[in-house]
Amino acid sequence: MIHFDIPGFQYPSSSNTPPILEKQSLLLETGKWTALVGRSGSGKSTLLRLLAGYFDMTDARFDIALLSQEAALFPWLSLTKNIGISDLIQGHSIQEEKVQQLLALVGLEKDAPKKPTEISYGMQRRILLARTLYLDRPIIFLDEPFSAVDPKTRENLYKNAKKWLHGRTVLFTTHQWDEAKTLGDAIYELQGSPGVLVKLERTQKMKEGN
Amino acid sequence: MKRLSIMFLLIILWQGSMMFFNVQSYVVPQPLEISHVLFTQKSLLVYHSFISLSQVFLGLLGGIILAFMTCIFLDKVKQLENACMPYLIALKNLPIFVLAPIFFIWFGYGLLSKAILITLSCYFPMAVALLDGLKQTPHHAKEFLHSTPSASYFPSLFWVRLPYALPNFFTGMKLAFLHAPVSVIACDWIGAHSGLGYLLMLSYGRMDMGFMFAVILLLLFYGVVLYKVASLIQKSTVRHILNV
Repeated sequence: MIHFDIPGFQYPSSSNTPPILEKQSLLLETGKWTALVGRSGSGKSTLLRLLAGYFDMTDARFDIALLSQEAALFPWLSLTKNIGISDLIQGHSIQEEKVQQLLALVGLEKDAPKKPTEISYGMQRRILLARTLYLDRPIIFLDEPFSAVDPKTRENLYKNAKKWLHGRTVLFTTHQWDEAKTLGDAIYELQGSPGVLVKLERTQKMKEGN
Repeated sequence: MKRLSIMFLLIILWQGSMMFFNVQSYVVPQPLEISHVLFTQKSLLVYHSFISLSQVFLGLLGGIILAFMTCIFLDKVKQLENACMPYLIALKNLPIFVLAPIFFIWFGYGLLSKAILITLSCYFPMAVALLDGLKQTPHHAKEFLHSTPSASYFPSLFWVRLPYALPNFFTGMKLAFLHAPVSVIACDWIGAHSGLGYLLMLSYGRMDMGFMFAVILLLLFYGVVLYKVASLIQKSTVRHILNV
């Protein structure tokens, strides 16, 4: 089990408004998928960023790789370089073999030399996932990973995502109950304001809906 | 085609009104007279154009190199940026007319002093644009850089931050390309033995309006060409290298 202490959170610029998250803790089962559900604006993304140490960058946790909703590829780099960018910015050369394996994993091995603008949005998200996996971190946070893809592609991604992220501890957010049930081994809902995590059973329904 | 038609129309209007109102050529020269100067004095004009354009080229190159060096230094040592900004602004506010005599005393009337002066006049718009551009790194890219352990400054700059800054830089570069010919003329007026500004002063002394207009037309032409070159560099970089 991986234990996280959540210190509570309030945006520094909004001292007059109530806190977004209550002080609490969260347990993630190692090697399993945990879904985090809640209505839009309930603080799911904030929670992921807080746990990954993104609000205070001096505190970033290097055992966690976060794929946020805003993440984007760098349009001037080939897909290969986009995946291996973490090595490039450290002044190292890209591990070509590892990139090839990841491209094959997300089914885009033939597109390696292409630029991000030459592939579809769904493919770009897959490359972003490959970039996240390239970091080789044991814990993966995915913020609404499948929200902007069509239902048919989503079904396909559900099947593959489990394969791609095999062995990793995954925490993902979604506002779709079906997605949480399909992918999540455990499900938490962020309820109320300030947000409190409540563990749900798979037979339950989301309390606050979308 | 439309642009050429407008130019021909203007020339015809100009020539026609000169003939109709019987304006003397020592007041305003006729287009035919100017074209005669351009044709008969072409070797002289080409020689002095070459000198002026070399100064422009060296000045622009110097400005670009200086802008990149100082901006990267100020970006790396962030505390210095605010401290240095007033000095940069003060430098910008010093007109080239003020600096030129000093540089001529230090380095003579040759290519070096003019190249330095043009470098200084082109430097500021490019430096401000680049400094601003380096602050335009999107949030998602900043987060990615911060979340990567031991991400180094220069590789991060080269692979991620500089490409986001380049569109801004090009805006400054286009301004600098527009400034450069004006600065060359200003330098020539203060002290020169060659160059288009020198020719302009020479023809002014002789009250040779035809020659003056020919030089001015050449300057306008070079100004447009330089601007087009800057736009071309901007477009091809943004389209083919940045791929945005």
